[in-house]
Amino acid sequence: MVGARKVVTRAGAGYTLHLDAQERAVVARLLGELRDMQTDPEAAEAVRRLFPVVHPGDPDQEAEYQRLMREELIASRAAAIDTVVGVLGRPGRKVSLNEDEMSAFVKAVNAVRLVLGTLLEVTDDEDEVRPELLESPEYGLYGYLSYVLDACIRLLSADV
Amino acid sequence: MPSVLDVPQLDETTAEDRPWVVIVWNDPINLMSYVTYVLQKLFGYDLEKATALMLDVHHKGRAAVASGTREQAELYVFRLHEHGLWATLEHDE
Repeated sequence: MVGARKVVTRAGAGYTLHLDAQERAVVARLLGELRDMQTDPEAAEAVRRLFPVVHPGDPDQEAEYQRLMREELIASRAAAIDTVVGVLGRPGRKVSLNEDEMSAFVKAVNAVRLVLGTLLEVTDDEDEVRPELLESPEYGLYGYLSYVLDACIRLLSADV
Repeated sequence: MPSVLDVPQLDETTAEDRPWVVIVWNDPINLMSYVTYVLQKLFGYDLEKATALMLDVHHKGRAAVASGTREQAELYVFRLHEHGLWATLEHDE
């Protein structure tokens, strides 16, 4: 699909994403959808992996935690999405990111993967994905985002 | 003899002092490289330790990645959730 090409490279203290205009538009669209899905009751099942239970054995503590933190988690993720959508919308052939923007990029892209993977019912065994889902646009996007994320992580891991 | 009064009431303090443990669970979506990266970034673990924890998560289904007071542990969990990891809390016995 994307072949063996450089997705991301280091550029001084920051990074350059080598995504063409179409790729940027697709990623930005997915991120915009994710931002809205976070607070859409009809999407609750699709985004459940973004809001794990924290106190699985204690409903009272769980309710208290979610009361205090769920909105903050939504806001944090929306901020990362807004940062990345802003970066992807900059003019120019290359996308330059500073360290914070790259951090937001990997978090936001991974959040989209979590939703797509949930919709695709991804398991540890790739062979278990239902054949009709393997042909779906969502599976193609999931594979593409996994490729982009892995490339970013390879570069970032050298810096940690 | 009043000496009994000086004995610390251990039972009253241990429940509060028991650490809260942050557990990361295996999931089929997060990349192994990404889990390792997040553990390094959030907890300052070196590559060896972060990789060992990630492999525990992957092979055993879960790993205790940090512990602390409830406040600390909830902050760790929040940051793990910001990064999309599946993390829960346990109150250590």
